Amino acid sequence: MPTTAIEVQNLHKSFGAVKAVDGIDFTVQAGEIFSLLGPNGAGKTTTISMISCLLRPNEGDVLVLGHSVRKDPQAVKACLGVVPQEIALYEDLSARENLTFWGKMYELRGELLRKRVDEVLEVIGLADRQKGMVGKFSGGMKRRLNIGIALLHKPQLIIMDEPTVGIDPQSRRSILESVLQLNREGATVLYTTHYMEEAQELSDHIAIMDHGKLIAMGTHEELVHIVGETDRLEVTLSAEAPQVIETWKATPGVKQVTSVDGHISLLVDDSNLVLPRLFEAVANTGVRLTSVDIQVPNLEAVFLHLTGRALRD
Amino acid sequence: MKAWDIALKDITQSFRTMFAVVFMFGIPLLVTGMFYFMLGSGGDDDEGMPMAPTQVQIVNQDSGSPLLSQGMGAQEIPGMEGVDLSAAQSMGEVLIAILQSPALADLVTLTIAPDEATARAAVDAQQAGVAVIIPANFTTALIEPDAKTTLSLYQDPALTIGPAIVRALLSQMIENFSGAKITLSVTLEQLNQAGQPVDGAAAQAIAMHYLQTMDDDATTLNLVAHTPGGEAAGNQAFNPIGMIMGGMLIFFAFFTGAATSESILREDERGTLPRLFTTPTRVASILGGKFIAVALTLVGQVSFLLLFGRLVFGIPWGALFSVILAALGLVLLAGTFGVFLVSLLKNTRQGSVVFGGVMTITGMLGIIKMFTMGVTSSNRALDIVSLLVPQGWAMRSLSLSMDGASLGEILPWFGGALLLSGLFFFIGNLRLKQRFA
Repeated sequence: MPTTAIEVQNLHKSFGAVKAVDGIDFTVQAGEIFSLLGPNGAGKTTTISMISCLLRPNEGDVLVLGHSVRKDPQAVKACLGVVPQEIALYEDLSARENLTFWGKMYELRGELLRKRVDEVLEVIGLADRQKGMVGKFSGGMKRRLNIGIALLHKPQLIIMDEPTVGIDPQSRRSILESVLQLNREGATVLYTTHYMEEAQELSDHIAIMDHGKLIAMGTHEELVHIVGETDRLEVTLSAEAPQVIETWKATPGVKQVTSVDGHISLLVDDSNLVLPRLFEAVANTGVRLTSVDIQVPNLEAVFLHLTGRALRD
Repeated sequence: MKAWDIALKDITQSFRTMFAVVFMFGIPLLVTGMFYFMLGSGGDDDEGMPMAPTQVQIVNQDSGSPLLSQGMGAQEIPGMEGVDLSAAQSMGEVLIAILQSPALADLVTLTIAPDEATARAAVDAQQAGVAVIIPANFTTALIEPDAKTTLSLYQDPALTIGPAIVRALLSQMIENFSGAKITLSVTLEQLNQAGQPVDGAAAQAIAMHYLQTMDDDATTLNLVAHTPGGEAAGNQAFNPIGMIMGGMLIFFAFFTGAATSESILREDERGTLPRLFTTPTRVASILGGKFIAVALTLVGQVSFLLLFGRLVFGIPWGALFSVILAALGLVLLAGTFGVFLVSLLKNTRQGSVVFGGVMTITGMLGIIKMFTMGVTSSNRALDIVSLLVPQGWAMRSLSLSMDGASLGEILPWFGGALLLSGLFFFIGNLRLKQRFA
């Protein structure tokens, strides 16, 4: 197996005047989970549509396990398992009929097909509902079947486009576990999401997209390092106390203090060390700390730092 | 192989949808069944469908001819046993006597009207379906070589079957009378040239002899079409149930073609088509599978309805190979027209409008023969107009088959259907391939 699963080279895609993907490059190593993180409309789905040969790039190319999406799309499709964002199932067929049909589309036949359908039904936990019509399934069950289809032919590379959108926390947890399990079994996973927590929990590497461009890429730690290793404390006091703010500014470990409408925001080196000092400073002033919120650096902060907007804006 | 898998999946989906099944089989059978029972059949009578007799007002203005002043005598016309012609002094009276014969009692109830206005008024008031006006020179025109006349029919426009039957009966009689006139004319001329002048009684005897031999199989030429079982197909032009079921079959087959082809749009909207494109399946296989599904669904629908019509309603569709050719033309036209229409649409919402509007209008236009019940003489323009839509070509082939046409007679119409289908498929396939390339 090649060490590089996906190599995206100067990829462009426009729809009319709108540049959906604007010259991105990245590499996904075999055996890792790579997340594309970004708000809705960032260009994630367009990117993976080009990787899975659904859209033809205007410029650039993608090599999937060494096969070019431009020159050899059939070979690319054969080694991919794609989980689309929307549930794409035949609701008037049973779970088993769906898997059997899609298995045939992945060129599985006969005994091998039957065996793989049985195995996938077990993996997605629908063995006991295999004869049920998909139209009568819950959203979570449909999501699991939606993923199961992409696993039928044991692909080396699985592409998942926001597979947890609009489902309950229990199903979401189950899907995240299954992604990790697939990865442990050797599959390379390209995962798109706009949930920072998912990218953070799953990924070996993360690429952050916005307006069709890659704005940052690396491991979680590398990305967090971009905003500096500072914690943010959000504090409110029982009354206005300018003298307290002045004291805090002079406290060792405190880098910055801002106060807006009674909400005080502090950037500190290490909240575990600084927080007791802040309490000490308040103790003799007659006011009380009514709330403290500790925010360690995360991808949300990275995105905010890079774009000036929140990830969910 | 994958194309077959896609086709089988589509067919399974179609036949699991109750609405589609009802639309494909239920409604055509329901409509035909309604007419079947409405027209008075459904009993054990396997002779056909007894219908309520048509009320006919007849005005006899025929002034007769001196040649017939002695009456017709004790003449009897084969097939019209019990018709008393002894007192008839004009051909108008002969016509009335025939229409009043017991053999036609199930089809026609005759009332003699005093004048044309009264007869027309009875039709206007819907007390009669047809008024027949026998002109004053009817007998003269039939006897004298150069004389001409016109028999007038005035019919209720809301009725189709009854007036068509009366028209057919009168046409047959006039053809016989015309034949007798020609025979008489030729015979008289030959005898005169031979120096043997003929008097009125002899001329009358010659004409009656002609009429008497008209139904004699030994002396006339007959055209009889046979079904594969050896059963004579006969003239099916006025089999109203056959015409209705044929029309319904064609109308709904085209809807099936369009609705099945629409699965391409439905799959596109539901995300399964884009997902198919992420599998190692070629566009040609996917579209091919869709087309196979459309064709097989139509073959199933058309075969079932034809068989059901034959076995339950006793509809003689015509000779086996003629029906197969007509049905094949229908399947090709309905399938490719569906693909063509779908290729013009962006989504299923547009499909609802197009199928509701375009298919209904073109369908009605194409099967207009069903509404005129085979009365082609006064509807030639409509017959031609119906060929502007593919349904018309399918209807023409099926009608011909029902009329007992041979394979050779249907082939040109099948060829036309094939040509149209080719055109629809070429455009539809090209557009869909471009769209999903």
